[in-house]
Amino acid sequence: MSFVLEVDNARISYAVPGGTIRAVDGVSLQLAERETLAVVGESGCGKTTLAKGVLGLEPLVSGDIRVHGQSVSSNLKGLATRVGIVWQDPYASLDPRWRIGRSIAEPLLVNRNGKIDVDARVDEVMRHVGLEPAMKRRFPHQLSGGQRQRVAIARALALNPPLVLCDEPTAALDLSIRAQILNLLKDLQSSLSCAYLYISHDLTTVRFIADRVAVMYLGKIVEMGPTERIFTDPRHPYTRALLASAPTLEKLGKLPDVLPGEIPDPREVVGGCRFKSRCPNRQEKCDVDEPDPTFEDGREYCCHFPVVRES
Amino acid sequence: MKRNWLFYIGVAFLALICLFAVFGPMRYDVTAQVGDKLLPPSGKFWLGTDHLGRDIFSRLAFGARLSLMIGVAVQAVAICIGLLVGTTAGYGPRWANVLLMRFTDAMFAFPDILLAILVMGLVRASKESLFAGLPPLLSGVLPVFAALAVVGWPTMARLVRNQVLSLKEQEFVTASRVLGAGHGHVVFKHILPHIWGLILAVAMVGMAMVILAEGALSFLGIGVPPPYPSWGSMINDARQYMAAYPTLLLWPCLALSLTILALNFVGDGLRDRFDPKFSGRSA
Repeated sequence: MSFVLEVDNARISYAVPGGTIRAVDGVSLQLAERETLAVVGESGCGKTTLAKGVLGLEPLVSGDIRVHGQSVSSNLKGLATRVGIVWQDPYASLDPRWRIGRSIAEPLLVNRNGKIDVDARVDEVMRHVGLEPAMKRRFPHQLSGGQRQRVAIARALALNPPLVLCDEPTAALDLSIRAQILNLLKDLQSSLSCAYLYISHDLTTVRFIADRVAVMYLGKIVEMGPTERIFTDPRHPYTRALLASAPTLEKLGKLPDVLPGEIPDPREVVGGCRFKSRCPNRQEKCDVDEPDPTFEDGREYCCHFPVVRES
Repeated sequence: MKRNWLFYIGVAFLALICLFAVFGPMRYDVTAQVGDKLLPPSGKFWLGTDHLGRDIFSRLAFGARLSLMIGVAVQAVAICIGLLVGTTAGYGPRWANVLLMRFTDAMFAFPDILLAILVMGLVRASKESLFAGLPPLLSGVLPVFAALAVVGWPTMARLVRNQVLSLKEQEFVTASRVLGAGHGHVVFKHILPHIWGLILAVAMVGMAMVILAEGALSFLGIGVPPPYPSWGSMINDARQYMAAYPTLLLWPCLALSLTILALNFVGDGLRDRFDPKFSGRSA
């Protein structure tokens, strides 16, 4: 099997007053063709930084990120043919002064390929995402939120990249439109056979769209595996807490269980397990040893004292 | 929207001033005695004559011509330098930014008019070699223009730099970069189109300041050299006859202040329209 995305022990850090933030601290993952991998976690866990690393917008301190076999560098030329991105807020990611037809054509024009008929391709990709080509002449502010996100998706898909990075593509949308966009992403995946790296904190949409889930905490993947197994039978206490904090129908009217405390200051280098300050299962070993990944039928997790399903 | 009518008043007045500047000086030779001294307004001399018997209406119109031309030329140069330097500082390497900021800080710390006088002095000192052979009017106006341009460009450069700095962090700029667009594409297609309007607005207000500064230089007697009339030198001439002939002073003062007011109205109107802080996102 060939991978469209391979991340090998990637590290990305920011220099801030008072130290460095290791926003991505040794992440490894692979994404196969036509697969959807969701990266979930709280705000500040490093999922957006990981996305920036994949796009070459943040330099790696160490490790390697390969898209379609080629290492990502700060030279962005040609990257767009290998990875497309759907941004969180289409209102911000589309130039408000550009008509949407021009925005969708932009990737085709800057990666000029003499063989391609730009106008025809714009029409085609607009139809793919459910937009009338006649809407080309409109400005972003003349569209609804859902239509704008469709424009953003069309733009990401214009070059037909094998990998599409979705950075919380539904976070800025109404609930009703959210479902439409998710269905659209799924349909496009089967018709265009692209892989998605889907970054989100919204567990409901993740469960709907993802084949596999990676749970990030403080710059590291603490648990990764097939979606259903992670959702129904989490191993890592953090995953379990994250799932418990999501509102569900059964818990209607009750406040969700939340983790005690906040994410610790990322500037401090934590010895041992990085989750220990908030972990209900914490024991002495957790203060000393950082847990290595444990592999268990198709999934992996980093915990000395994993959760076992309550029967 | 409530200040819209001020904008239109400003535009109308500026149109009038332009017509005045183009056609007004045609009636008489502005540098020569054409009638008796200090005549009151009449059918022949619409605003009367000055202490040397020159037609005030024509001289006022010639002053308008000089003021507008210097204002436009200085702002054109300021926009060119400002765009070049401001974009380099805002989009380019950090050191370029730091260098420009410290330099403009120093420029701002120095009073504009003093700086202009200094530049005038320098240009005048080398005038013989620099402007030798040019017609006398041009060789008189060019040092004024040079001095005001030197004083005027840092404001524009700073404006451009601030706008570029904030625009380059916008997501649509990052999005374009990730799509494979080069820096030139990003700067010319995504960043600069967003600041033309604001540049125009600031240039209007800047022009008002240039016209005022030109007036001040000429009032001090180091601006446009006599016998060519400038509003500032006309005010200076009229000073001696202030008690007996106050209208001599009135006309150039009125022309100067109304023009500056009109330019500010237009500049503010444009700014309301283009500055994102006032209008939010617009097409």
